[in-house]
Amino acid sequence: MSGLVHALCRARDDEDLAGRLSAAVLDALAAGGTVATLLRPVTEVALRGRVAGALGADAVAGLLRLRRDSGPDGPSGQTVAGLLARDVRERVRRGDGPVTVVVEYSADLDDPRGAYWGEVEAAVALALADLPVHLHCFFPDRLPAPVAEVVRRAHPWVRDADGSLSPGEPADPRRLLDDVPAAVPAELGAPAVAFRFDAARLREVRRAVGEALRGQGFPGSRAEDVTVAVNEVATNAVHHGSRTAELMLWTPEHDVVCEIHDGGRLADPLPGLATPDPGRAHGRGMWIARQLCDLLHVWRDDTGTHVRIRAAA
Amino acid sequence: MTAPVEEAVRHVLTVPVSDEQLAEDVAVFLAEGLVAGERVAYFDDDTADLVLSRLADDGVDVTGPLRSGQFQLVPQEFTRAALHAPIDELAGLMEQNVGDALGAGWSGLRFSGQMDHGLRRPGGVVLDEYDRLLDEAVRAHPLRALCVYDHLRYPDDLIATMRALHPAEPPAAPLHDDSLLRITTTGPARVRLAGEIDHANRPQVRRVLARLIDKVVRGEVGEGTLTADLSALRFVDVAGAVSLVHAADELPVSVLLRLENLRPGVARLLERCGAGFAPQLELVVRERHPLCTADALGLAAGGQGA
Repeated sequence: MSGLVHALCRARDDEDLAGRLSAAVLDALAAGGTVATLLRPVTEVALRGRVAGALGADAVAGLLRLRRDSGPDGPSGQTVAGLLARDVRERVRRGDGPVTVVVEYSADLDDPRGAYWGEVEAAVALALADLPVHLHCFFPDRLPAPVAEVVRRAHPWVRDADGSLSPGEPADPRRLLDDVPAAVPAELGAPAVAFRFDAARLREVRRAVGEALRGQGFPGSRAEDVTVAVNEVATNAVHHGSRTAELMLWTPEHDVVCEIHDGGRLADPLPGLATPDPGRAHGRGMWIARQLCDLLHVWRDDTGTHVRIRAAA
Repeated sequence: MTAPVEEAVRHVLTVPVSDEQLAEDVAVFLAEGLVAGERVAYFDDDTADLVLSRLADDGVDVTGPLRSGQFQLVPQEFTRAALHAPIDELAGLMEQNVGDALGAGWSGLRFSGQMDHGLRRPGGVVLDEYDRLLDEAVRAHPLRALCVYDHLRYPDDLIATMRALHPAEPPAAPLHDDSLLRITTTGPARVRLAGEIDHANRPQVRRVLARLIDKVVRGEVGEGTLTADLSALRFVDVAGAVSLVHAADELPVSVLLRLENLRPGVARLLERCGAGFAPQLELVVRERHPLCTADALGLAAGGQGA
C-alpha cells in the first residue's frame, strides 16, 4: 500500500455503525497497524468497549484520539486535515506501520449546503494523498441531500458491510468546493492592527506580526516560525492574488490571529495541503505555513481570497 | 566592507545607503577600537539596537567592555542634549573626554553615533560647525571619529556639505544593497549577507549568488567552495530558502556551498526546504546573544544585564 485508500462506509444505525467500525479497527490492529479516531464521544466509548473486549486494555490505550472540537474560529475542515496529515506523516517517518484513520459524520457540523463535509473530505484527500493510510469515513444512510451528494462525490472507494472495497464515483477533490466554498470563520470584532501592503512592504507585515507575537509572550523560535507562516500567506496574496492585500491582526487572550485579504482568486481553493514536489519551489510556501500554525483557513467569496491564521501560545 | 582606517585618517565620514550598511560600518569601526585598547563610545539615538545586534553577528562580545567602561553607550537623552548644547562648550567637552579615557588607561578615544537630532536644533543646523571643531580636536588629541550621515535620515544638501568637510570616506562597494538586504564581498570566494530576503529582492539576490557560484565553478576563486556568512541574515522566505538549496543541488560534485554562522531560525527553515538532502550544501549554525540597548545600559551601570 503506497497511498491513501479513502473509503465511504454507510451505516444503517448506531448498532450497525459500532459493529462495522470495530471490525475495521480490529482488522487494522491485527495487521500490526496503528489507528487514529475522530469520532463522536458516544461512538468512541462503544468502540473502546469492543476493542477492550477483543484485545484488552493495552490495545485501547494505543488508539490515538484526534481533537474533534473546532476552537474559537468555528469548524475548519482544512485545518483538521492538515493536522491529521502532520500526525500521520510523523508516524510513517517513525516506521509505525500502516495507519488507519476512522472518522464519523456529526450533525452538529452540518450547514444547509454541506460546506463542512465538502471541505474536510477534499482536504483529507489532498493532504493524505501520498501517505499509506486507510481512511474510513462513516456516514449514516440517511443524510441531508446536499451532504449526501458531497459524500458520494468525495470517496473513491466504498467499503461494504463485509469489509470489501468497491469503486465509488469520485470527483477531483478541489471541484467539491466549486459550488459550496469553505465557510467563513467566526467573527472576531475590530482588529488591533490593520493595513494594506504590497510586495515592497512585506517587511512591515513581518514587523507587525513579530511585535504582536512578542507582546503575547511567544518564545523567540516559535515567533520566528509563525512570522515565516504569515509572510508566506502575505507573499501569496500579493504574488498570485491582487497587487495589494490587507493584513488584520488580533491578540485574543494568549493567541495571535491574522487575516490576509486579497482581491484575487486562487486556482487552488485549498492551497498548501498537497505535499509539495521536492523538485519544485511552487506550493511549498503555503504547505510550510500550514505546518507552522494551529489554524490556517482559506475561503473565497466574490471579493477575493481570504486567509485566517491562528497561532496559539 | 569598510577598509581599515589609515593612521593618518582618524576622522572619517560614511554615507550609508541602508541601515545594513550603517550597522556594518559602525560595528567595524567600534570593534577596531576595542581591539586597539581605546575607549569606544557610541551616541545612541534609536540605532543602538541595530549596532549591538550587528556586533553580536560579527562575533564581538561587548559585555566585558561595557562592564569595564571601555565601551560606553551614551543614552539617547544625553546624545540629544549634547547636540543642542552651545557650540562653544564642545571643544572643552571633547578634550575632557579624551583626558578621561587616557586617565583610565585606554590608548585613546573613538566615537560614533546617531546625530540626526542636530537637524532639529532650535536656531538652525550647526552640524558643519560641530564637524570643524571635531576635526581640530582629532588633530590635537588621540581621538578618532566616524561620522555617519546616511541617506535615510539626512537631506542630500547636508550630506554634500559633510562630504566636502571630510578628508576620507571608506570605500563602499557592495555587491548588492536594496535597503532590505546588503551583500558584501569579504574574501575571494566569501560573501556576507545582512538583512532580509523576501519576495521583493529574491530575484536580484539569486542573480548575485549565481554570478559568484559561476566564478567558483569555473575555478577562478575559492578552491571549490563558496562561503556565505549569514550571521546577519535575519529573515529568508520559503522561496529564498528553496533557491539556496537548489543552487547547491545544481553545483558540480566538486563544488560546495557553505552557509556559515546561520541563525537557528534561518537554519530551521532551510532544513524544512530540503537542505538535509543537498549533499553539497553545508550549514554551520551559531547561537547568538545580542544585547538590547536597555541591557547594554544596565551593564554599563554595573548591573548584570538580562
